[in-house]
Amino acid sequence: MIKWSLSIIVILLFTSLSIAQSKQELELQSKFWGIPNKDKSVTEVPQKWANESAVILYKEESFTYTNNGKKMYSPSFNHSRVILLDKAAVEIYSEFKYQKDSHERLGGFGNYSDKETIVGIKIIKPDGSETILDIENESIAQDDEFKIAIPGLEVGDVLDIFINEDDYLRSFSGTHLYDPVEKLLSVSHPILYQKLSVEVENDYFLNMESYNGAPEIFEEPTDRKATKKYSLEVRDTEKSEFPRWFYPFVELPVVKFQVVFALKFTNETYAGAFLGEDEAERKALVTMPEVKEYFAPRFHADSRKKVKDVLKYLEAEGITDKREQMVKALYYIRHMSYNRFLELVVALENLVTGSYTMPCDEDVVILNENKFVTYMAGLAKQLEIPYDIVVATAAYNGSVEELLLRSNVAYGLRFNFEKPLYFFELSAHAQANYFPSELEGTKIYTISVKKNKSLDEISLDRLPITTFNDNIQIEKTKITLGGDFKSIQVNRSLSYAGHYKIEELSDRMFYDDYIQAENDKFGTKNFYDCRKKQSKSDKEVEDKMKSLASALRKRQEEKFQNQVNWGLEISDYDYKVIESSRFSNNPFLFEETFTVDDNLAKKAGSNYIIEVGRYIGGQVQIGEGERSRTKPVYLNFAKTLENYITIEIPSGYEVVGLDKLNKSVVNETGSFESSAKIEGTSLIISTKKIYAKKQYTASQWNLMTRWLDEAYAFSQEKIMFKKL
Amino acid sequence: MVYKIKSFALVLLCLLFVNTSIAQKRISISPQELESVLAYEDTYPEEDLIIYFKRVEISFVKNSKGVGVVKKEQLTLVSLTDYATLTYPVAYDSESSINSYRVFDKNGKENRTVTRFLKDEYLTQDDLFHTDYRIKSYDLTFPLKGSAFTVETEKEYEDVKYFTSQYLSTPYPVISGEIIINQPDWLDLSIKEFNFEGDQIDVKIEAARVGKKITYSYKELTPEYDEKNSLGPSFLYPHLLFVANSYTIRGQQNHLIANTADLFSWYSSLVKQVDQNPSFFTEFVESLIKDASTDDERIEQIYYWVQDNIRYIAFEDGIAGFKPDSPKNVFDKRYGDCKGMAILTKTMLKAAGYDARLAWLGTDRLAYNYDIPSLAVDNHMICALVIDNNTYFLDGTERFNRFGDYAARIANRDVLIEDESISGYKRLVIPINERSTNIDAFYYNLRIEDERIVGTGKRTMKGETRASFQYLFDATGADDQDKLLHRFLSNGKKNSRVFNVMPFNSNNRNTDIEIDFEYELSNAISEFDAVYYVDLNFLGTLLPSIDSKRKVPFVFPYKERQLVTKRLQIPQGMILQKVPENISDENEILEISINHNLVDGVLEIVYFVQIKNRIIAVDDFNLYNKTIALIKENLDQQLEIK
Repeated sequence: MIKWSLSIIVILLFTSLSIAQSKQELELQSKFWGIPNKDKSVTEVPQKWANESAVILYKEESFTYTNNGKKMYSPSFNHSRVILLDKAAVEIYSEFKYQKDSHERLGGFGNYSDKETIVGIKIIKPDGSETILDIENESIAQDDEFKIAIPGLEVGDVLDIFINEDDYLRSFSGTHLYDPVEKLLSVSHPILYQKLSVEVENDYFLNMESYNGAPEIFEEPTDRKATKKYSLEVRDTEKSEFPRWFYPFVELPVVKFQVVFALKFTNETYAGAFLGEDEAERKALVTMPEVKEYFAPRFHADSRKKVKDVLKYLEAEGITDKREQMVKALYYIRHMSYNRFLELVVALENLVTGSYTMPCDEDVVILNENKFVTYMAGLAKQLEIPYDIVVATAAYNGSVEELLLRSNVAYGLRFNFEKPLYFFELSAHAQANYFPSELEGTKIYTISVKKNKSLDEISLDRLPITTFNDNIQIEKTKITLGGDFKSIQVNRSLSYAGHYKIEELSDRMFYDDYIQAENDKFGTKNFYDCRKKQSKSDKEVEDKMKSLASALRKRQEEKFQNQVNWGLEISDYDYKVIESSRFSNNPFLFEETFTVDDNLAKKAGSNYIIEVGRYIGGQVQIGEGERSRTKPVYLNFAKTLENYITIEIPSGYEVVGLDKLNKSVVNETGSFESSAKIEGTSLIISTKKIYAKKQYTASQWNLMTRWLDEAYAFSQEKIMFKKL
Repeated sequence: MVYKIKSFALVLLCLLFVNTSIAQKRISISPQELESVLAYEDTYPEEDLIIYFKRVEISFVKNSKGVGVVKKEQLTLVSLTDYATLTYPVAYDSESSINSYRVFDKNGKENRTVTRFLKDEYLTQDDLFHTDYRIKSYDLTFPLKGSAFTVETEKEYEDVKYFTSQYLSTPYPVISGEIIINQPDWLDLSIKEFNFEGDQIDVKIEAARVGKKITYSYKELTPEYDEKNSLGPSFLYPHLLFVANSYTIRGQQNHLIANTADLFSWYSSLVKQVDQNPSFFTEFVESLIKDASTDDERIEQIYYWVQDNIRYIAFEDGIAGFKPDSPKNVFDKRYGDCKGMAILTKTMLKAAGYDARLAWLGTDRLAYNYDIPSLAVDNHMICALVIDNNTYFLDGTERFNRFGDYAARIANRDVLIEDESISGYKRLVIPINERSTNIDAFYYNLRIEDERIVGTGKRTMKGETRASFQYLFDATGADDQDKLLHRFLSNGKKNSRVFNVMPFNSNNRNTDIEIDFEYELSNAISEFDAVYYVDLNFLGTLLPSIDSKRKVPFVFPYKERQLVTKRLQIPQGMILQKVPENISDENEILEISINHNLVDGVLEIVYFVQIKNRIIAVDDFNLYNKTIALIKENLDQQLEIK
């Protein structure tokens, strides 16, 4: 009897849940499909998009943020109507996945988040008949998601889908930063009408703005007194196209927003975001005074006690020049507070050691972004070096004068020497004279520091920019032809300066090599051998680390081999770091040797034609479709690439066709120049390609393509080894 | 594309193991044993791991469903390299379960650090919408050369018919292994051996307490290789197939699936549960075929409608792996798997008054035929159509297949079709496609202009070459088709430009696809000492060379004939210094020829290559590669024009 009762309760419970669900589903169906408006009822495709695979006729996204003091609610929905114009579109849209409801614990203190998703799918046939899918019957649960194969879908159908998410969050901290949203308004299909809305209640702060020609955000009335709603409406959005060397978030219509929940004034202070004056009022811009107000309290210089180790090191090294003090301090800190721990990270990532393993030191200082700035400020203060705090944003985010999101900010320090020194971040190969290339040339805010006083004034400035004379890659290649001209033996010396150096150090330096070198330099020890006497288990870890390093080194060598960009099969690859120059401003020098078995030598009678242009590596080929350009060109940095190729001419042959290797296109945007000559028994080819600037206007593209084309043409050139 | 649930056992074997296990005595590994294992490093330089010992014990049990199977597996993996990781998977589905899955260190101690993190997920594959196959796995880290783990699993099948095979091989070399089969005297069991040739495999049969104990033992088994363009594993690796014929309980013999008739009878029983009433389709089919005047036209209308309108979406869940969905459901949903497409084609043809039937078969991925009554022997269902005592086969999953043509993967395969005879079925072999050869032909009329080669081109495709192009074209969005076409016609070559592509009917199955276009080739002419050196090899050899290190036969998707005709107008006032040599060669794999003719100032180069055998044995790689090198050398010859 008891059994029976229990099962009845269980059945009842399930039934009522299922009814509740379907009631909610019906309510949502009525919300999304019930009241047709003009934009929601369109089924015609504009003539200009008749040849598209699919067109989004209607798209509405909505995000709402409310709370009851205990729980934060952030329901959202996405409602789209897509007309499928060919079979490829039917294929793509016929399978639909969505995440199951989730309940997630967030840290301790009983914090959690809940997410419930309800989906509605309707198919509208060309004759106007509509079918609403029975989602419960059609969906299949698979691990964390539901999958639906949408039945009855054909070319010409309109697929009408809504995804409604109810999110709850309980956090006792009284503060919560929702992830910032940065959305391009164009997607892979054209959109006839789209709308995006954000509704926030008091206790929430909203930063929201549209950019790059996107329509203005407007306020809409809401049903509730305590909330405000901000929306954006766009009509006739063409599908997105991304040309080469392009920053979409600077050029294409985009909307950005972030919502922050901050219950009390104290929480507002620690929210880690730029908050508006009034809750629920949209903040569209973070102004210069606000930047100061936000960062000034966060960047008090560290005390002498905190930086005493560095001071001691500088004193011991006898460094007195102020600039050199900062440079040497950076390299010291790079090791002591960063690189020294990388080996342990590698060990943990590869499960060589358990998560309980710790470094020997008890007072480990690992400098994150914030701490790095306050630490270096503290040092500058002790060394009496004038400095400013720098607030910047990467070039691909837009200008700092249009700042909206805290997550888009990069900050660092400017030490005001005659030629200022900028420190922005601590990374394994941070170089004193170079800061991240994406910040170069951008506008910045500098917050000045008066001697022994707190942060004082803020002003607008601009970061310096490196030139093609700073960022230089030089490849010296010596080629020995095999008897059949097909196989070749290659020896290359590579030199990288400027931003190339930082990129290549990260790519080509093996962690074990530079960590051991730094340990020797600074007298530190590996985490598995840092105690007075190495324990048996630490010895085991050491053996495992050596074994892991050997395996990873092998993998890295394979990667280097694949990186030789000649479009030819490479074998017998070997490499050597000649000079890493990690503590100086000198170039990073690297050498590699390899063999090419099939060099694509073509036989012409008793002569051989060789595609010698390949030896400078693959060159950019500008396709037919990208000849005309309406958007600016954005490169990572201005640069120079030089190639020097020496080929030993086999006896009994002479080289013909050298004249084709002499090329020269030079203009204000850059250049490609090449020459070839015979010296003794060697053919010597040199090329130089300069990208003169980091950024170009669309009208300069035409000039750029001239030398880009010339470089590509060179890469296709051939010479003949003619039998004497 | 169209495998039923059971075939995933084979797919998984390719990925890793489908095995299970027992607690056995040899869990630990001594330093001496380890040393002997590491000596294999030179034998298998490319392998990270090796299996020191693998033991599988298969036992049969009586249960409420009749006969069940318990498979215990134990294997010891040793690292041959400095550092290796492995996600060790054990698969199960609605017909099987994993009773235990444990991991031991090399000293024989259970490793609970590893087994704390059990993953248990659905198998996901691109061509499968949903399957009930699930994978349990542990991540194993081998930090040092010589690190070792022993894995033990126990897997149970409630119904013996779903336990079909056991492979001796694994994705890693096995130094020694054994499969023990405890066959009780109440079970009539047939064991078939496959691919035992070339390996040292011993069989020992001993009397046991109840029945007999059969032990297969083997040494130094090469690993299974995960290579593209390969035959199915059942062709390549040693394995056993089990057929449980009957079992006796209290003196009463109970029939299982002992012969083809039994197998068909079970399949048929599932099909009979499906509503196949054609009347639902009568009106629709009539409207579909109203303008057709011949049988062929009517059949084509129906067959092509299914191909064009039913999307292939596979659900392989429990019995749905064997039992088709109802034709009405497939029609309404506009999607189905191979069985759904076959039963819909059959029912629609029936509605049009034709004698249509279901047909079961194993595609060319399977090494078996219906001599073996096992669920392992087939993985596909199509529709058979009988007209005037001729049988035709219609495979709805083959987009753009022409009625009467048979794709290579089903041609020459043993097929079981519904029949009115007493047995209810008959066995046939699907004919090899003789009517329409697969042809890819290029024709260029070219001339030299301003150091470039320009002219017109035409690409003609027949048979499966045509169908696979149409499939690719159709699956590409309208806004990207142009790009696809240019890439396809220029063969992906950077210095080729294709333009003014003439319209063509991309949906027609009854004529060949012919695409006309204009063509421009740059960087193909080099001038040295007033001589033009022209490189006309812009299409290459059209066939890949095979990596000489490859360990398993190479398989072409289908036999194909390729023909490239290039006609180059020699510029007025210039002469071709030397007409390149003609070559021709024929061996068991390829037939090739390259002919050059200079007539009235036009050089015609005709390159012909025919794949004669889809499968190239490992021993023939050298011959094949030599033939390709010969073609390449000839095509690479520069034309000297002065």
